[in-house]
Amino acid sequence: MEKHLSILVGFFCCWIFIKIVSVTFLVVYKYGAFLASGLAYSCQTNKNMEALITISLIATALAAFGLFYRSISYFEKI
Amino acid sequence: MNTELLGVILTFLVTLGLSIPLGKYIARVYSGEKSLLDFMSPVENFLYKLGGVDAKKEMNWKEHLVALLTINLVWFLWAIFILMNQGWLPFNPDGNPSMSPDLAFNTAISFLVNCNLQHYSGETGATYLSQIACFAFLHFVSAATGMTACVVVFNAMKERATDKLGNFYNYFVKTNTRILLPLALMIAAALAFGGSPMTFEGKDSIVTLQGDSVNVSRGPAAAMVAIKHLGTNGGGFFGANSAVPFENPSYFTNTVELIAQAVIPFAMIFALGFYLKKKKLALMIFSVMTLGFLILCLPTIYYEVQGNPAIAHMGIDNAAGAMEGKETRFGAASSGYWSILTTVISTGSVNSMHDSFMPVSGMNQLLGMMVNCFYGGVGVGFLNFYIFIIIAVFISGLMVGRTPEFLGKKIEAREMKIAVIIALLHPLLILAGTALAAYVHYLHPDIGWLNNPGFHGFSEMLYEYTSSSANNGSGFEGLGDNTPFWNITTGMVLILSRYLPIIGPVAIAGILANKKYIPESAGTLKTDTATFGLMVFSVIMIVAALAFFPALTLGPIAEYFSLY
Repeated sequence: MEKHLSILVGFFCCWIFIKIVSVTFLVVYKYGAFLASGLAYSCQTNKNMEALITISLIATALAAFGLFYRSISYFEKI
Repeated sequence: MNTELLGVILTFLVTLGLSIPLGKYIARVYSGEKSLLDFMSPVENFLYKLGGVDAKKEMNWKEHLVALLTINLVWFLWAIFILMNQGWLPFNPDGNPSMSPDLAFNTAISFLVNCNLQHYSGETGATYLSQIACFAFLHFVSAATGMTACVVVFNAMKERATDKLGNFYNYFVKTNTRILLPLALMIAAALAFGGSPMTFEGKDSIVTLQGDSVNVSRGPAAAMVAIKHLGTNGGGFFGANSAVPFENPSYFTNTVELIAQAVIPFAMIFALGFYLKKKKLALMIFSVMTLGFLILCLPTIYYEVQGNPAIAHMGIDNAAGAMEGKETRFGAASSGYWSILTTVISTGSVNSMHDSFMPVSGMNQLLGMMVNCFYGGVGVGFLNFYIFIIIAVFISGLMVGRTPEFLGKKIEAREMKIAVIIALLHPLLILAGTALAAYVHYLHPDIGWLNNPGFHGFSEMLYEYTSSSANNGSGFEGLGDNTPFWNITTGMVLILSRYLPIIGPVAIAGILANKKYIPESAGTLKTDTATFGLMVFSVIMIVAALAFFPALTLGPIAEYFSLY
């Protein structure tokens, strides 16, 4: 019984995790898509795909800048 | 041929002659002494007021870096917005389309980091608004960013213990208003009088001698070409860069552009001597850089002037040198000189096609970018060299049994760790990138990147990542690089290889500046002597150049032996 319960709890946790990830993704995507649709105004083909690529690339650049800010304190404490 | 060689020697000497007074002037500007352009103060004060900046507030090294990164992040978003929307924005008389996300990402980062790796063609890929509000603007501010970081390190090298290293915005604005802008105006005027176009009208229609009607691209080229060289940016107005007659109409403009791209990198070293009142140290640094430059430049000119043996074997006259991919108005010697100058100082502009150079010349171009500290880009060239000084001081100290000290400050484990991380980052990005590209090409041989198979194809991929990591921007143009793979991977290399090599030296300098100053004694290792200069040169050769030897063997060295 305990084993079955733990499997159920495990499934439930996974479901919650997937839900959180997917909702976060959707929020980020929608918000990002709104921004990107402004940026990618002139994209003629497959706007959703263009928007997704745009968001990913801008997010990548922002992440890189985050890394640089972080590296300042890393170099201080190294 | 002797006239051509004389032209090259004179160009170098004139550049050197101009860079010494310019270095003195730059030192006066940064030290706040009276200088020629003090009348720019009201403009500068207006800009500080507009930005809500207190330009008198002293900053420590961390505040400098935060300001530098934040202002660069804003420019990145500005650039990518313009490039992705240029199609419907104004100043687009030729109706050029907006850039795709991956191309805009690559281009925005490329111009932001002073690389200008152009995966688009200026005539059809960019509008006048992008050329001015994005590219020319980033030419100024990216160059000023490098010079400002360099001055922060200069401040940290002063004989005192402090964490106050001046104000970022003060140096940054003055770099633009008192150094880059006036010089750019002079160079742009010389180029415009020399025949470069400076107009906002769209393509012009002409009728050729054959009677065909041809549309010729033009635009505000002279202004952009001036700052592309002064700021060691290299991003051309037209696709073929300074090989296009509109960017570089004659031998006169060629000489002006050669001087323009080298004068500030040379002057920054002399500025160090004047600023710190350590002329011997500046002379040592300049001598090491010049030695490295000549080792790369002289064989290149020799091989280009000698011509291509494969063409000679066919019985074709090769007396003018290896002229494939070169402009007859410049000749083999001047093109060879340009190709090495543009790769050692990170400009990346070209007046001939590097893909067509002899294998040894191609190797030297690659080595110039791999070493990346023989003169180097404006400001950042010295920052790269500073890392090698720190490593050389540490190794010398271990060799002679003295405490490693540089300008009265002890070099300890923390500084060495940062220096080594930065020194290894460059080979890591180049070699890992090239390995990835070679593997992808191996898995998908029909992917269509390479027009040249074999050794030269490998060199093309190696060159692309080397150029990206050195923030150079030139290319072996046989590579089909406007694809999502190249745009995104080189974009990542570009961004990583720009900011960490600025953060590292500024961090080391800031940490050293905080340390107690130890006056020079009989036991101090002298760092302004020829012996120490040779030590730094050896460290550069061992750490920087040898790391790339296996990759060079697979590319240009193998190609060289296949020629004979």
